[in-house]
Amino acid sequence: MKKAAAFLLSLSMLAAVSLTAFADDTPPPNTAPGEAVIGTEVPAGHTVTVTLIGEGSYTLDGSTGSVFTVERLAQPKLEITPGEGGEIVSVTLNGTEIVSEVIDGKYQLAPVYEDKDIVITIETHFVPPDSSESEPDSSESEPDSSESEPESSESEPESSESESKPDSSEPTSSVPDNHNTNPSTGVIGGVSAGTIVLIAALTAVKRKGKDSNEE
Amino acid sequence: MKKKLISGLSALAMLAMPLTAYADQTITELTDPPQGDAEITTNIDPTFTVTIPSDVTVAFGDNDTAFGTVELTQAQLEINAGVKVTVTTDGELNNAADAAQVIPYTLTSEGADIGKVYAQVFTQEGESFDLTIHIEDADWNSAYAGSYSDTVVFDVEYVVSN
Repeated sequence: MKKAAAFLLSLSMLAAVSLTAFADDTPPPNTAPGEAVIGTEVPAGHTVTVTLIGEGSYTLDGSTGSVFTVERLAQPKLEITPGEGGEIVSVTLNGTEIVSEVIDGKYQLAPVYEDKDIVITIETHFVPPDSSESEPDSSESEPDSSESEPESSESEPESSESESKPDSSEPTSSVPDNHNTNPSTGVIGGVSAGTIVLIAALTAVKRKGKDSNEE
Repeated sequence: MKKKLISGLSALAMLAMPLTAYADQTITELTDPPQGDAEITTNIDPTFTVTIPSDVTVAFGDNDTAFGTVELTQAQLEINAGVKVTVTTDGELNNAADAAQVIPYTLTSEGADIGKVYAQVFTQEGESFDLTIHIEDADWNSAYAGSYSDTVVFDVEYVVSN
């Protein structure tokens, strides 16, 4: 009992001792750093769309179709095959003309980093028939030049295109240039001698009819 | 002997107990000069709040993407004190699959490149600056496929100018 009392008295002495506390007046501590993350995603492939206007065919890296998915930064090869008598007149890539870069119908794209749109235009030119099959009999008389020229436009065969008749000086087919002017064949300006004779005869008949009516 | 010991300890315990003493000032006819003063003190600790941009995703192919705003949204500062915000970046988005593949970028504020380390001191609540992420077309076009990211660090520091 006495020991307990002594112990309690000692404890009370300790509890009664005051400690002096000094208030800290320094500025608040620095804030921890913050972070923000910037992210992005680069696609693995891109779409190449090909449109063909005219007669012919094409492949992209050997594949056919109109919409292709190519690996990003790949360099696919476009190969164009015009139809018979056809000519590649235009190739656009995302609206930019690149036909001058198409060699022998082939074009290799630069590394693809975005979707591409290719438009191929092929024009087909009329291929006249072989001269050995269509030329008239050479024994017929020479055509009357004063009457045949105005009519030549009626009998001349039309090309398959809407444009005006081709200039004879431009090569339009594999037939030699001198075909239409070779006097030995009786063909002048694409018009056979027989046709000219027929037209002359019809004209003469008409005139006779007019004269008889006037009388 | 024991009784004397206990008595002594009790006396010591009583002496150790602190007593609160209030010192009142009194002014009497004898006080010269007949006046007194009492000092009133208080202390306000400076506080501030800075908001920084959140994580952002840049759309593929975009040249300029809004990053966000750095703003001193709340402030109670000492005189001649400010809050300094430092923005740090290495300027490269790194490919997650191949760290060697990067997409360079710059941070701009009001159209001007802020460089890889930029600091601004705010002194008033409401002060701010906007950040934009800029990537050139050439850098997009040569980037390999994949996921890219980079971390921008914002350090905030309370500064007092002397």
